[in-house]
Amino acid sequence: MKILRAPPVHRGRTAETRLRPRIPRACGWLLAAAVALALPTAALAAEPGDAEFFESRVRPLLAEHCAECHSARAGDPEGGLSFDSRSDFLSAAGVAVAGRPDESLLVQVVRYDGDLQMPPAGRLPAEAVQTIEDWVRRGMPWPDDSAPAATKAAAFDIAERRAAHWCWQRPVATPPPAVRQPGWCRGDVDRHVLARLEAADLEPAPEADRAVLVRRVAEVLTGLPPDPRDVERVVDDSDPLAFDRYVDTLLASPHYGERFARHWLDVVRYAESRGHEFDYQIPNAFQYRDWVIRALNADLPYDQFVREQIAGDLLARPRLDRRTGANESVVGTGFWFLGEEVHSPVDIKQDEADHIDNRIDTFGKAFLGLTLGCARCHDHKFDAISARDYYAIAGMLMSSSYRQVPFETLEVNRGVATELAALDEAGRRRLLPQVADLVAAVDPAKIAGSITVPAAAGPPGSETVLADYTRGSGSTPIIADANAWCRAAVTAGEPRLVPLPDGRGRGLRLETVGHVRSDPVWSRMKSKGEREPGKLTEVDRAGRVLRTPKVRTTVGVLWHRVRGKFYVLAVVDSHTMIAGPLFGHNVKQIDTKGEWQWVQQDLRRDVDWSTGHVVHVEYAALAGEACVAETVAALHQPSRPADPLAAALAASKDPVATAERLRDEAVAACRSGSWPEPRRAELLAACVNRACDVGIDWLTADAGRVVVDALGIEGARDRVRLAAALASATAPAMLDGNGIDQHVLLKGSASRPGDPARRRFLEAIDGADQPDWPAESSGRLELAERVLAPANPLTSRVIVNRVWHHLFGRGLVPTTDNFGKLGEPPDDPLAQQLLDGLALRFEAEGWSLKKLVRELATSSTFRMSGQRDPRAVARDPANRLLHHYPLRRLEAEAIRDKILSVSGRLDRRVGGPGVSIHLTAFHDGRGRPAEGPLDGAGRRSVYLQVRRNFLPGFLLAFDMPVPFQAMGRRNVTNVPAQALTMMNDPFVSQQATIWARKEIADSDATPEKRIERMYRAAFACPPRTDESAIAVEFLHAQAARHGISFETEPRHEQTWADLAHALFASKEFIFVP
Amino acid sequence: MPSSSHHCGRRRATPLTRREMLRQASCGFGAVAAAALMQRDAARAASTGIVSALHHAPRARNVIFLFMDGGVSQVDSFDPKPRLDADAGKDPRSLFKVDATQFNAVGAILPSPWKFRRYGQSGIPVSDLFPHVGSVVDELAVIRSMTSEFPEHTTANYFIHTGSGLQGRPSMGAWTTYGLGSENENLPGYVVLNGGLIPPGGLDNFTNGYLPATYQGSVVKPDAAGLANIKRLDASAELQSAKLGLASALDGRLAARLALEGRAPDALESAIANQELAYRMQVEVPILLDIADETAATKRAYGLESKFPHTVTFGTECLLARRMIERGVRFVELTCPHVGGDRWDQHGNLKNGHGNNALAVDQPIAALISDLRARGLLDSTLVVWSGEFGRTPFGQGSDGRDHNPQAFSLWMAGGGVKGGTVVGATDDYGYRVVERKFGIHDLHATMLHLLGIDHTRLTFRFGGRDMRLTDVYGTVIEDVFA
Repeated sequence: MKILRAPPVHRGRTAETRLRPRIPRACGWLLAAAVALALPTAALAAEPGDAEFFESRVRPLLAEHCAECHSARAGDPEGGLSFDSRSDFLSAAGVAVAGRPDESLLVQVVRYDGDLQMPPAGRLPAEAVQTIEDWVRRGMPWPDDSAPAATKAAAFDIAERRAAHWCWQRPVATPPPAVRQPGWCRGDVDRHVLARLEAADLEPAPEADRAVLVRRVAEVLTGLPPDPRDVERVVDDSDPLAFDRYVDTLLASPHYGERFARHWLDVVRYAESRGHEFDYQIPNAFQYRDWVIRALNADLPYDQFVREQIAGDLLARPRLDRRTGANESVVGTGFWFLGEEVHSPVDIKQDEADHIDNRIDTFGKAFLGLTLGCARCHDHKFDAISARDYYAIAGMLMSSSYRQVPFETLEVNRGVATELAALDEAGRRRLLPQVADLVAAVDPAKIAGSITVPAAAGPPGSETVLADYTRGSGSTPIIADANAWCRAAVTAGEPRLVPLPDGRGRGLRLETVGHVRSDPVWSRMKSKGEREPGKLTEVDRAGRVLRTPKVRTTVGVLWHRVRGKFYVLAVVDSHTMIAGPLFGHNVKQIDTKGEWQWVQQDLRRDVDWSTGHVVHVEYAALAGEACVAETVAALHQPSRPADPLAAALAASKDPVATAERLRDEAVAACRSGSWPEPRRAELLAACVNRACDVGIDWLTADAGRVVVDALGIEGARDRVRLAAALASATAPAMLDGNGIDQHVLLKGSASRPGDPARRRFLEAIDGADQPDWPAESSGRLELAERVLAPANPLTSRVIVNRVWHHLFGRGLVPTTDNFGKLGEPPDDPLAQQLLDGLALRFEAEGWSLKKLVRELATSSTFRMSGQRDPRAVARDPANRLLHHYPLRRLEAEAIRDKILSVSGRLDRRVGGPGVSIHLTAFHDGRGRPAEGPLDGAGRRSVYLQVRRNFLPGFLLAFDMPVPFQAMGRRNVTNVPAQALTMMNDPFVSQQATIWARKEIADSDATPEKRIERMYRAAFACPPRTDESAIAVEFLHAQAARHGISFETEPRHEQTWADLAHALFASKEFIFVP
Repeated sequence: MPSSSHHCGRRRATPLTRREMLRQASCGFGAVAAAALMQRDAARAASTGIVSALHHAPRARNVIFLFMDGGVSQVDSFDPKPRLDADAGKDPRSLFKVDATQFNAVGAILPSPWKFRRYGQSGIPVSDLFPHVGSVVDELAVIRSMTSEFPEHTTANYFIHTGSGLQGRPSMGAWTTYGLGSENENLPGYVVLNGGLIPPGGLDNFTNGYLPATYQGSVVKPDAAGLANIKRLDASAELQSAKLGLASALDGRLAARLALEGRAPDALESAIANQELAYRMQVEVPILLDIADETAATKRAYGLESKFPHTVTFGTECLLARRMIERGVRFVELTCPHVGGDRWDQHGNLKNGHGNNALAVDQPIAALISDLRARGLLDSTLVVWSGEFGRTPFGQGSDGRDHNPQAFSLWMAGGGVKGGTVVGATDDYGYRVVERKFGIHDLHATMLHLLGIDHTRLTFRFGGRDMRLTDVYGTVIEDVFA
């Protein structure tokens, strides 16, 4: 396979003047690259007064405005220019000419004279510019060289950083510490927690009431209140394992998966729309959400959970749904595509860099607890992560692309496609010798006779080849989103049934151009579910896409050598959001009416090509068979010999002899089934076809037998095709491609590429000398394996800590998404030992999340009550040591779900498309979606659509995160809007009425009985002391306020609804005890 | 240079105690600790702000941001360019380098259809689009040298609101209330008065982003039930009051029960307090939003008797903005009314489009400035008028202008601002800045500075670094200071 490596982009002296987000107009390297005007050292010798001038006026200026970038403290000083010391400054030659400010680049840039303007953040005040001019005029005096040099920060050193921070060290197994009260401990977790408490001379809180525990564990594990019958059953069960068994019930409930899926969705910035101006949907994003829920409910081992999200499309043996045969693994890769996207970016390359940044940032935080995104503009300021590390991973993402994958039918159809390929191979073997027999009998004089010499092809122009399938399977990798495109290129010499020109039935011909073909059967595929927004809506592309490799080019005109009816999408810098004013030419429909043609696609109007872009093309067959031979970027139509046979015969002194020789060679090739190199094969195939044209009557018995045979093979294909599944749900997913290395982008700017960064994993974990990653794939599969390798100290710790965070409200590492230097480390060595021990066991015992949750939920630590020992509070007010179980407010989704559950409205179905959110007058703006029902159709909150620009107000008020990056630890606020919501949100009020209706349906119950039922539903316990009486009193008084008598109308709906509403609004409803 | 001024440089290695955090907060270092603080003390922080001692003497206490959604043309408003008349009809590419624009439909040099007149003592020229604003020009500091980094609405909107072109970052109103808190515990600190147009990018222009939800912009419509869930659904206040009374009684018992167990549940008490506050807000907010008690003269001044209904809408917004400032709302943003046609985004139909948009906002804005001055509020209120970028001096088609982030004009008035000032200059065509070039980060740095906040010290630890409204940039525009 040809390895397509990106050529280095020209780095000419064209200062960037286009607009770039977030990137300063800094072009420091230009300073170093500028014409070398040697700085006379002598001029730096200080005159009297110069020292003072420098120290009092110049040095502060340099420090304030220049040193942030031009200092060793900033890592590599920009452009090699550093103002740290005189010698540093001197080493960057050509910056200034002593005594001649007007000729000095330094002065020009601070004057903002040219394209290069410094400092980038804004022009210096006029006096400051004057000072610098004066300084240069004086010969740049810089008296003292020692002081600043001494303060120079250490250079970026991965090994040193790695050694200095705990998170890079492998977890160490430590035997559980000795404790004074072993009887309290149910397992290792408890021993660690108790040991910490004992070391601080503290006691754990006593065990909570069984009823409290049942409510707590149900709400923590499933996000729903316990069924009051379960509470009663577990409370009354004298078996010491009754609680543990209840935990098992909860873990077996599908609601566990829903609950923990929501936690994970926070981490992966899950949303179903792309935000920005029109908030276009991410089609079928909910399939990823359901994938998470299914995975968690099935207790998919966490390592596989991670592997499938990073590289589920690349697994040799994908995980299949046992019932439907659907490919599960590939759906996990939707993870990458849940971020914001811009429909019409003006700077497409910068836009790509921003998307990739969001993906790397989310990847790093989600799986590794590392802020990889910080290394986009410079080596990480604190962690052992280099910009090279960042761009090594960026390359993997550039090498991959987006698709909607027909995951349901992928595997079934893979089987069909394999069978079809086998039939074709058998057919070829069977037909070609017969064709050979027929052709062998054709008179070479006929072949050579009356040929027309085609016009000579024009001179070859400059071309950038994206794909060349004419040379067989070895030349260009075939990248397709499903099975539509056969996996081996069709070579010249492939037999093919064609209609005869005079309509006398069909005959055989050979293909003369190598290509990749989409079998007509797949053109009938239909995808179920949502389609792409914008211009991509029109065509059902899922499952039909052939993708060329990606190539960097500066030519904005593409040429497609194709046959058939197509939809073509030219993807520039991985931009596929075709909507809005720009990029109208990136999509094109083609119909060549059955002939090979070169079709032009001019992208110059929409994109500026001068600095180059990475391009690939996606072809989707619209109908029937579709074939692609070549894809080329070139200003003029590529020239290819029009008819190689005619050219060969014309060039021959003895055309008949040549024809005979070619005929014999072709006959031999047909008999042996082995063709010479592609160009020769094209010539031979052309010779056979000419022989067929001029010398074979397909209506004769001999020739007709071959046609019948060919028709028989076609019939066999038709029977195989019946097994194809032509309708499938689709999901956003990765499509892997050829490996491209990304350049390190200076200051994170796409317009300032530095050296290429080889694709590899983090140096701090796997070292600098990693073997080359594959050129034929992105390397994500290798990435997944490195993330999960024992050498990586982070992955298991990070997830174990996340689970701990959810069970106890605060992680052992409180900053769940950041284990780096700026995160908070574990509170003490015992906390780290606990984390390490859990992580190691988690790995050793099969990465089972349910097992981990069970261990934590059944521990004595989890069973502690919320009682606080004042001594413990004084010593450890933040409860870092877990001397009691902390009181916590339910999350937004759990509050809403609980209201639905208690009212009886909850629809417990699992999975499916998101429910449109209920819009209020406050949901305003472009792209306003369809209106949904007030109660969200009774579905759990995890099933409400997450549209970036129209997030549900109820959930936002209670801190549902705005999805833009990993948020493993939510804000927990306490604001009046929450109270207003519980008081006046029509949803709450509606549910109170529904609940009331349910409670008064039973005409026999006494008010007290109803109140008790309601209490048990809301709080998992009966009314305490006089609370029932208080409620009864309220009912009477409230009924009177409604103008009726409770005595005569004890089932007055509004009165009971008011009671229900009061229970909703009480704090006990939303605080987990 | 001090290394701590770097965005990544400010950190504490050891975990802080709460007391330490508060102590730090009082040194203005505070937001370092906010991530931990908000877990417990969000309600408190919301009312007092994280910057409990200002970094320097403030010039303003409140902000009114008049957002001119779509991008007002600078050469048709505050930056007169006679050269456009001289070169009318010429191909701009023959005169200067033209950048890529969103639509790349570069037309001929297009003179302004409006005449400029000099107003006030300062004699600052203002076009006939804004005769009323012209009458208060001596209160304004006009910056003609603003730039953005994005030539496209949504990204530019996020940028001017949040200092980042990406979605989901906290808005400047959120940062301001995060820094200073609210002066009225019964009202949100950051209010967006929605005149009808939510700018492209949607509500995320007003989001709290990673800051606690407390600081989210509350979108208020200029009518009596303008705030979400402010309207009681119960048939009478008495019914609601009794219902909430029951909930409160239960809460009280819960608190007492927990106290017996040695728990002092701060979060619970804050939640209980919030319920009482919310109840009061139901009364306060409608009163605030009801302008019946304003005099006829005031209403007339604000344009509420205008025949153009959009002037009435924006006039109401301006009047409400003043009422909110009076009540201590920290940051009020006004969005434009939907005048038909489009917001200030005239790719075509410049004359009508800009004309109608100006008609809607001109009189109310002038009235707001005068009213604030008359009531002694202007000195403590910073008024900022701006679009997300400017427009090209050449046409798009025959009667439109494309987006131009290379230069635009904005003005400030009030708290700490030197009226009658012009800052910066553009080239002969108003296309690029040639003098005192400023960007959005500089605007934010300046606004925070006037409020008494050093923009480099208002930080929030998120995602592994101390985030700032001004990212790693920002220069205070001292030219506008009184």
